[in-house]
This record gives sequence, C-alpha cells and structure tokens, in this order.
Amino acid sequence: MHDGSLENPTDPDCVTLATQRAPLEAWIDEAAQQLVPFVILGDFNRRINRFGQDDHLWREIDDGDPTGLDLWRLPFDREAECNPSFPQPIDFLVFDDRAWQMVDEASFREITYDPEDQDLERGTPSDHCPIAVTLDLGAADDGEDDEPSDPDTTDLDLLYAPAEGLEGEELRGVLHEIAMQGHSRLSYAEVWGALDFTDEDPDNPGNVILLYTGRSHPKPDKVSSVLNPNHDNDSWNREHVWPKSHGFPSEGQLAHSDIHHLRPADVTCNPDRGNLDFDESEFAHPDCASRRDADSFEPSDAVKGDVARMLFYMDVRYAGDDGVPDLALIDEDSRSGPLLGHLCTLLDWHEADPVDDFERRRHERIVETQGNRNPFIDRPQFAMAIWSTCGVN
Amino acid sequence: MLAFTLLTSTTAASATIKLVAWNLNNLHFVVDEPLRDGAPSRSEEDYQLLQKYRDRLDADVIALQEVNGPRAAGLVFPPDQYDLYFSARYIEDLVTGKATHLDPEQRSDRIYTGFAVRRGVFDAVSKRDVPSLGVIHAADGRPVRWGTEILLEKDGQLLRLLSVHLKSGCTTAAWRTRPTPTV
Repeated sequence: MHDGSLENPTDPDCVTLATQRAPLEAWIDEAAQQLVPFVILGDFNRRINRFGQDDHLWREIDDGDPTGLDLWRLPFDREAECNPSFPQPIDFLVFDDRAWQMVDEASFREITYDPEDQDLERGTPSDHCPIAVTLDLGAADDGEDDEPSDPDTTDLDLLYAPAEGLEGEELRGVLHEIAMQGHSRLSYAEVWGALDFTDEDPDNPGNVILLYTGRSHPKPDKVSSVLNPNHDNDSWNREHVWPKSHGFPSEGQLAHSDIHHLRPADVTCNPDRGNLDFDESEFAHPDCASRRDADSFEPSDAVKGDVARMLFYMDVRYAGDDGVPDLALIDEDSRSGPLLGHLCTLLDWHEADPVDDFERRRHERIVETQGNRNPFIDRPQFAMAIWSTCGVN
Repeated sequence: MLAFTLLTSTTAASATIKLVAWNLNNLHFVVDEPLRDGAPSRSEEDYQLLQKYRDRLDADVIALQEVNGPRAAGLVFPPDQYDLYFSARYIEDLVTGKATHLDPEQRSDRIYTGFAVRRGVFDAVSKRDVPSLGVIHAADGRPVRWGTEILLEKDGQLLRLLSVHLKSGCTTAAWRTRPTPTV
C-alpha cells in the first residue's frame, strides 16, 4: 500500500486529494466568517482516526485558521462496524464549534445492515453504512460568549455540590465519582494530537510548552522515546507525570492515556525524571530546569503546583475500578506499586504555586477533549480538606 | 444522577434534528444495470432494502454520496416525503452528454453528492454548489466530485451543511515524526 502522504505526494490519488485540501479550506474559511454553524459530512476517503490530529488531511483543515476555528469529528474513537475488513472509518461528520455545541454526542450511531440483508461481496445495500447524530438547533450559541465550552459558575457549583462540606476519605470518595464523569478514553496514539491542543503555546500555535523546561517547541518534533533513532535532543515526548510503572504499565489501561497527567516534555528530561517520587531534591539539574537526587525529583517552581494537582487528580480518579489499581499518594518513598510520594511536599507545592491562566486553559481543553474534570483545578481547597494531616506551613 | 448533566439536558429541548451521512455505492435508477465498472447492479429488492434502512434511520437530513442524481435518490427517498438537492455536476453531465455517452471512456463517473431533506421540517432550504472541490484528477484528466451545500433554516436558527466525497485511494499518513503505530 502506498503511504498516503499528502506532503509532496507522488501517488496520483494522493496528489488529487492533496489538491482538494485548498478548496475545502477555502470553503471552511468562508463558512466560519459567516457565523452560521456548519457541518461537513460524507465520505472523506481517509482513515482520519488512525493518526488523529497528525493526519495529513485533518491537521490541515483543523488548523485554528481562521483564528479560533476548532473542528470536531464523529466518529472519534470507535471503529466502523459495517465491514469487519475495514475497521477504520472513512465517513465522518465534521462540526465547527458552534455546531458542536448543538450535538448530542451520545446519540451518535453507525446503522449497520442486518446480516441477512448485507452482501459484502456485492457491496449491498451499500459498501458504506450510514452514520447518524442528533443536533439541537435551540442549543445554538448566541455569539456573545467566546468560550462557550467553559461551564459557567452555576454549572460547576452544581457539579461539586455533593462534595461541599465533606472532608477526608469521604470527600476523596465523592471526588472519585465526580472526576470520572464524562471521561471518554483516548487511545495512546491519540494522546499526541490531544497534547498538541491542550499544551499549545498561547503565543505560538505551532508549538507546545514542555513541562519541566518551560521551553516552547514545534509540535511536529515528536518522538516516542529517547531510544528512537530519529530523536534529537530538542524533541519532545509524552511524559506520564504519575509514572506508568506505578500502576498502569499497559497502553490499554485507562490511566495510561489519561491526558490530565500527560504532558509534553523534553525527550532528554523525561528519563532523568524516570519514575522517581516528587520531593525536595539535593542537586540542581540545569538542563531540565529541575533538581534531582537518588530518590526524588523536584520540578521548577513554575510548575510545582501543576504537578501536585495532576497527582491529586490521579489519586482520586483511580480507586481500583476501570482496570486501574487504586492509586494513592503517600508521604514516604513509594519504591513500587500503585503509590507515589511525597504527599506533604506536594501539598506545599500546591499552596505555593496556585492555578494560573495556562493551567486553566489547558484544563478546559482537556475537558473538551476527554470530557472529565480535575476537581483540584476547579476547587483547589479540596486538597487540604482531604489530606489535612500534613500541616502545611 | 448528576446535577451537571441534568442542567444541560433541561436547557436542551424542542428543535432536535437528525443528520446522517450515507454513501450509497453507485446507486443507479436503472434496474439490473451497473452504473459503472465495479459497481453492483441493483435489483428491485435492493431498493426495498435501502428503503428499509431509510426508515430505520428516521433522519431529517441525509447527506448522500455516490448517487446517480435525483432519479436514483428518489427510489429510496420518495419526493412526496423528501426534497432532493443534487450537485449541478449532474445537470452538466446530462447536458454535455457525459452522463449518457455510449463510450465508457467518454462517460463521466455519474456519481454525485447531494442531500435528501425530510419535507415539513425546515422553514427554508437553499442549495449551492461547491465545484471547487472538483479538481482535475491527473491520472484520467477528469474532475473529481463537487461538493453540495445546503443552508437550513428552522425557527430562526441557521445551519450550513456540506456533503463531500473526497478522492479515494489515499487513506492514511501522519506527519514524519510519528512513531510507528500499533494497529
């Protein structure tokens, strides 16, 4: 099979598809400027979900141009069931932000043919199965709110109402229920594209911000690990802030691809952090703007609170269900198992480095992508209410 | 169980519509005659099956691909129940004779994008062609499919839809730094 590249394509079909991108983009640009919600639907002849945000076609059209344009597609994370030989869908419904607000995502269906009606060889009733979704036209944005996906204060108050006034284990249990709401699993491959969006540099949409160094670096310069021969020292990869070896080593486990704790990081710093606990550390490690010693890693002051809140989330989100062990923060060296330290240091960091604009923006983008929320970004006071025994200074 | 969910669902009410995308695999209106090489010929039973799934869909708007114009679409979406909007490539092929030329080399591929819109749902529907998507495919010197756009109006709300059928044969690739995916 040819490689399907749309960059300097040689295959005649790919040349033609590549040529179609410009008029498609032109149509999108014009539609976006007319402020009417739009949907592009049909046969894209492209397995967009295989590479998601990195797909040559998708990335060109979902490019944030005109400014603020954001496209959504269905199906996003499910296989096509029409023909077992072709699990990757090529038919899509693609929505702009305004139309996406009207979509009832749970209503999405692929309507397959009953076995007695289907002849796969002839391709009848058709070699494609129809895909359907319902939209509520009354749910249209009035155009006044530029960030319509931000739930307003009332929504958040309602969401967290069951947690108000609780403490300790009781609060930890209720936040588990809240943190799992709406969580839709991304594949580990889809994490790349998701991070391009969630951790995008606000001053340069072509870049992401790397967690430990704070460096802005081009999105496409991704490598799977420092062992990848294509890497150079500036490349980035997917850092599991809660180390995957501490509870969810397999790609199929939900926490493995949970973007609440996944960050772009310098490919050379990622192994330096390894699976160390977080704590105050002895030696400066200037290349990674961090400190480390034999048994701990200490990120820069700028992201200490971010790291703490990601780990608080992991503690409450994973309680032994969803195929992931009960993850727990402890105030000592964790060594192994589904544990991580050091809780009291993390609480100090949480207090010293409160939620900032970048973290808030990243969080809203995660919610848009993955569906569920980090309670400790919405309600920072919950951390002390659960773990009050540390005695923060 | 969730206040959050309840709130969003109570604000959502009335004006719900169902959208569908459906490629009908070379749907011809002539029984037992393949539309082009490699296409299945269609029996009366095929049209009945497609009607069965049309009813199962119960959709308000269906974006169609690979249909040989309104005559073929009308066999599945009867005009007393659905308004049909088709790419003007269909008209062009008819008036230039490319739809009917006896020499298959001179004939167009005769598959078009379009829409079926359930009657009585919308206050207004207007259609526009998007011929810009019909770029010339160098391998055979012919244009590929146009897009078809409709603008729907219901209770003062507008929605713009574009039915597309992009070029086949080039299904996957990612940017260069992508690690080898596991499939």
